[in-house]
Amino acid sequence: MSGSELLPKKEANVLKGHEGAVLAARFNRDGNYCLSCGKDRTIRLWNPYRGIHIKTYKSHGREVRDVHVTPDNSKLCSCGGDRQVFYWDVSTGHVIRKFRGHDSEVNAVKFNHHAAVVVSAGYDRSVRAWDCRSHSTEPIQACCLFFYSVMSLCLTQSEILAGSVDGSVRTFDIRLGREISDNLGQPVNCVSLSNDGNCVLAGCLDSTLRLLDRTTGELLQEYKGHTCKSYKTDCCLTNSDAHVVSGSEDGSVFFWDLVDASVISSFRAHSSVVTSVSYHPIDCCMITSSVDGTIRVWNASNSCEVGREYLQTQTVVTKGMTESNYPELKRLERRFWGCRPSLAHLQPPQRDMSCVSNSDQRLWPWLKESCASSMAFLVRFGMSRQRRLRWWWFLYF
Amino acid sequence: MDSDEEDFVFFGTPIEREEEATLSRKKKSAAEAAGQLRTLPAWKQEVRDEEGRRRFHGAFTGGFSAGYYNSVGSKEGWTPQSFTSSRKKRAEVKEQNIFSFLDDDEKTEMESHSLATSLQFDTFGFTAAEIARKQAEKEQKKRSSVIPGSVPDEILIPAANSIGVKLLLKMGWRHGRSIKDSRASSLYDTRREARKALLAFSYDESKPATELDPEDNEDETVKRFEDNQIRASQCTPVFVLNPKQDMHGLGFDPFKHAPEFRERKRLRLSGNLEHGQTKSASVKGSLFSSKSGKAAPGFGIGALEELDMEDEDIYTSAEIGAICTDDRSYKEGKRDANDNGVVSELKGAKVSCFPTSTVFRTLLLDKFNPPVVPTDFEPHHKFSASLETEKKLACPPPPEVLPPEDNNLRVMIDGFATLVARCGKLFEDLSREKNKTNPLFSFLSGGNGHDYYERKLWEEQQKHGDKIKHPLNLKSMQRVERMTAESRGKILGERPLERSSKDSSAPVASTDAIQLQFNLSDTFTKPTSMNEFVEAAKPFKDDPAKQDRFERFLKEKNQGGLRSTNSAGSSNLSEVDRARERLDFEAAAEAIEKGKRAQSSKRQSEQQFKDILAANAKFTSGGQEPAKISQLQEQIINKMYPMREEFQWRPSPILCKRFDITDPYMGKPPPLPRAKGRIDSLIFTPDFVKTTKSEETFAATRDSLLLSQSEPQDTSEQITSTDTVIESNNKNVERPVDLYKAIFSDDSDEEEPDAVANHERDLKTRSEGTASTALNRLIAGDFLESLGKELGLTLPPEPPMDIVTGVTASQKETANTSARESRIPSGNANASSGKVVNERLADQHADHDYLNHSESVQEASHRTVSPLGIDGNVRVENYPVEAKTQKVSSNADKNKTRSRQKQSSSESSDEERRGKHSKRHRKRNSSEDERNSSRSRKNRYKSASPDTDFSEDDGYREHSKKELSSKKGSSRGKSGDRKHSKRHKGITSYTESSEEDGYRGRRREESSKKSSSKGKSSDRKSSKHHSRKREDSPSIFSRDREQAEDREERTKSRDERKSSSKSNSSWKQR
Repeated sequence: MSGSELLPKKEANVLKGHEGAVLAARFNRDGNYCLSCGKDRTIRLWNPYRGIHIKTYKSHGREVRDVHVTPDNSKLCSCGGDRQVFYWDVSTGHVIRKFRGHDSEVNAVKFNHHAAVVVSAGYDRSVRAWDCRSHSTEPIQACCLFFYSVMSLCLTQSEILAGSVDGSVRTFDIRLGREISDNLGQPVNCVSLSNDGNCVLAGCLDSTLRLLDRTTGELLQEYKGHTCKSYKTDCCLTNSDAHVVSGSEDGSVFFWDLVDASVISSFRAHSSVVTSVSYHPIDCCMITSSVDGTIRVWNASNSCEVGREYLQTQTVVTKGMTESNYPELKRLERRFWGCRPSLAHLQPPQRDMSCVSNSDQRLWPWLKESCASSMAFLVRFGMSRQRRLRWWWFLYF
Repeated sequence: MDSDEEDFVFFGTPIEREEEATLSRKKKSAAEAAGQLRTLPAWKQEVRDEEGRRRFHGAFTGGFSAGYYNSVGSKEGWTPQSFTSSRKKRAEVKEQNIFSFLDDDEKTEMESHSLATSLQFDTFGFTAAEIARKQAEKEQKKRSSVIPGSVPDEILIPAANSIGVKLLLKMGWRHGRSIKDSRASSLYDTRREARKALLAFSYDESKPATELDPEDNEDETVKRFEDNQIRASQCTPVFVLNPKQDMHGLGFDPFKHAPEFRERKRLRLSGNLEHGQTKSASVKGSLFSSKSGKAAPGFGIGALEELDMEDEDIYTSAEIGAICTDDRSYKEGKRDANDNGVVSELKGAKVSCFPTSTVFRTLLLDKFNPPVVPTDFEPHHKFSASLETEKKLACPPPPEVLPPEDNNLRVMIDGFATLVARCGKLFEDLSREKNKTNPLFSFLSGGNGHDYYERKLWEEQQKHGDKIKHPLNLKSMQRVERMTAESRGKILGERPLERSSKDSSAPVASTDAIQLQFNLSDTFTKPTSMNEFVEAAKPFKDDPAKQDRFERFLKEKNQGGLRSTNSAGSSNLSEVDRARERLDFEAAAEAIEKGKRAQSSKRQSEQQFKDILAANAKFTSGGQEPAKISQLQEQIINKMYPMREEFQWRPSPILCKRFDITDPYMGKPPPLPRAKGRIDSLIFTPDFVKTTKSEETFAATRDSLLLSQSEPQDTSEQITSTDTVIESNNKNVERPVDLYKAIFSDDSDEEEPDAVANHERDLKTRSEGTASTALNRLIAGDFLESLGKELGLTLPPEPPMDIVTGVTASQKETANTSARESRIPSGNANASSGKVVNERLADQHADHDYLNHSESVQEASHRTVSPLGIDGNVRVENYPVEAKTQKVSSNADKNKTRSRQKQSSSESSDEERRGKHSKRHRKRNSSEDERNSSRSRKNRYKSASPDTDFSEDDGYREHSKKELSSKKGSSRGKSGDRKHSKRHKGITSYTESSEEDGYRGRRREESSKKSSSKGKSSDRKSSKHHSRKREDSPSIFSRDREQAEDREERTKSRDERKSSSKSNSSWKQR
């Protein structure tokens, strides 16, 4: 990202449809879609940029507290008050499996990296892992080491992080067969990993976020200013790990500087408690969900910024690609593709690119991967822009 | 088809092909069969099969319709009536009743008049039972029985009750009651609700309500009535009389299309009027009503699962206030009218309209002001003398008096005294008044035997008071640490038997009986271990009286048996206060319960418990800090957190598989239970403060040691003790090395308690932790020892060199300091293990001192040869022996100043020692190190932490480094790698085994040492050299390995553990 990162403060869309509180809203892996779940026992799939409600998943008997989607967008997992973890097929909307074993409400659920395991954390003071590949509905692992309800989960390639109301953030390292417990002394509401994986951000119920070094367990920073005393509100770090984001119980969203813990920005996002904050995996975009039943999509305040970025991309392309700046281009391209609504503000000649992609939703992930390389290829042939686009069309559609 | 047929000439009638023919007919027949056939009279009905064909059964077997309507059976079913001969068995005379002459439809008509539960709805089998009984009666009449005449019903009743009913009856259900889990606490809940309501009510009035208040009483009864209703309504729906309270037209329902608002309104109304009396119920109702509309249909909720309080919509509370209907304003208007004195009219009208008392109540509740109660009014009759035995106990005992001669009088006085002690002073006063004239009771009013009576009374009161006080004194009793029969009994919940009081010469029989009962009732109490915490935590510290009452409350709650009716302390409280207090107590008790549960987990800080108590009834999440806690405390708490702990955790193999990770515990026995299995070696919070402190003390003891060298025996022991201290301090940072010492050195320490008192304390706390680990290792240690010996035999003996150290005294001093300083912060495993190796050698060669020095020289020469100093901390290199000691000291100095980099520097120094083995490795490592040190702060920790974490021993660490480097070097083949690792396995096991050996050797060595620290510093180096030598001769090792193959298999488990941690360090560095 560029040096001075923009904060997503401009409301781009409001997703309405949930009746009652929305308990969680999450981006999918590539950030093109988002999922939400709430008190109305449904899970909803949205296109946050266009504000379209795509699908509703109904099968839960109680409120749905958390939802997560596999990296390949084929499966969902969700959990909630009915003490089960649901494993869904995204396209059909059928429940493939229900994992039973939690003795009480399930607070959080996550897929692992390969989407082979679902890990869930519940009020029954346990973290359980469920196998998606076998037909068993029994947990393959249960860690009943907590003293109170486990509120939040984070997964890395080989670790499971869980934050509990007993004040501990526990890291279960599968590779080493070791459990590291960092006791924070305050009930932990939400745990969230930094993008470099070195730090963990723990939202505590004393209205404080705490940033811990994962290797040493040292408290690096505390972030205060918001209110978080009785509701589960999420917190996370921005893509560049430069800022810390958290919702507040008064409906506002806070941004802190990572290093000096100063409140950079806070604005009232919702009329009621902000339950969840999810940051776009690539782009400067954020979704928040609230008790007031809405999900809001937040964008960088200056949409021209994205356009400028895109222009830069174009110049890079036209100037010619070399192997060395290829990753740079790719990054920019991803950035460009990741943020679609802002493209509407672009000038006409640049918009045609977006038209291409708008036409077919299915090609998106693939397109993003191939886009940069193909452009580079075409550039090397010294084609004009129009011709290049046409070729591009030809090659890929 | 038609064109084809034209070409052919057909002769005869074609045989009808079934497929074709049936096609059209099938439909027709199907339609017929479905509709018409039934309507036709029986003789017109034609039976066809599903194909629509009539089936010909044969001319003599029924033609087209054989059997009963083309079926096999008959009208009666499968079995046709069989022929019964009337020869033997006469045709029985059937009992005739009206039904036998009636047609079917007539019968049904008849039956429709009789009222009975149809079998379909006969849930509890009452009707079935009745039928069965009738049947049995009927049969009984027919049957010829032994008992002539009809057997009465009482004797023979068929078992008609279903098993479910039986079970329910067993569980306490009775006919006509609802099948609800009749919890024991339901009554309690009701009372609690009532109390709450009373409280709320009294708040409304803002005046203390009294028990005698008629309104109150009425309220109570109403409530009770309502409770009953609720209970009844669980069985059958009760018609609820809904009085018209609004001004809408008849039948108009403003909430017709918005039922959720009705609920809101009701909530608010009930909030206004009854204040939470029926809140729970209404909330439940609201849940159902609101959810039914908008919630998605859900499967998986069992019928038995009720939406309980936890399912309350916690988020909606904010929204309720937003909705406001005109109803509100209407109410306000009413209130205004109330003020203006229009009330009376309204009242009258309403009373006439709604005679129901409840309605009256709800409507006019806020209209009446309660009667004014005088402020000095007490709701209870107060006795002039209460049962305050404690006070009595305080006054000095009257003098001992001989009992009067008259035996009768004596017995009477005794009995009377006991009674008075039991019933209070009042009894005495009463009887005194009553028996004024009776000469027998003259002792009461100062007559004969008055003194004796006084004395006796005092004694009895003492006894009685003891009894009362006893349960309250539990806490003080617990100070007695010795486990006696009494204390054990107390813990188990037995009430200790009252010792027969010596002084009471002739206890009255009646008293005895009472006492026995009293004892019996108290025999089964909750064990004190349960009460213990309760006693410890005093939630009402600031109000001792209240605390006292609270304790009594707890006692009553926990204790079974008879309750003492005297609520002495609370009797002076008003009813409302008492109710409030009781609620408080309940909440506090609950909190304590919870806290106790939490207490079982040691890590639960008391802080949170306090929070719970502070929050009292309202359990907000524990974020709130009570205001009492000062800033300082907060800081301390903040310093305390975050605490890091590490445990062993065993992921299931399948989990590892799914995460694409090799199982770190593959092929190992299941881990030890958590309670035991805290691995000391993995606690790695580097406690710098403590280390430096111990350094200082070490120096101090060393000084004293230098002074008192005249007693070699003692000093050597001192050294051992001080060594252990440091070792145990270091244990914080690393694996506990001095296992034997940790266990056995206590004895030697006790001999010198003054000199090392401080260390003792430290040591004790530490050694406790290490002892468990040590024990674990002891088992493995014995085996490894033998293995090490075996391996050691193959070693080529070191050539003894006649080089005596030419180190001057000053140099010795520097060596001392350097050894000390370098050992404490960084030496860790290297120093100790190295020493150990050396000491193992010392075992072999008696002349160990000699050897040490020779080796140190050798080591030095080694060092000079090798190019060192890659790391920034160690700049001094290529120095002769004298300079080297300085180098180490300078290194240590740097360590002191830059404590952060201590770990990395030590690591690097390790590395340079290691470096000679493989230059390539070293270079990679060092470059890695440099990179590490130049990284950001976070990364620096990273590079440092694995060192601190997993510094198991030298060989291991080296191994991990190599592993890392070999991973980095992609060109290198795997086979070589494996060879390396194998060699290292041997090394590690060797070093470990030699450790064990070394403990024995060290004592001897140290006793004869002239300068222990000097020796140690050189020890370390030489040991380094040794281990390296061993590495350099893999062939020898491999030969031995074959010999000790079976043993190695056993060590493998150890090695694997190491390799797991090794992979961790390498992984982390990546």
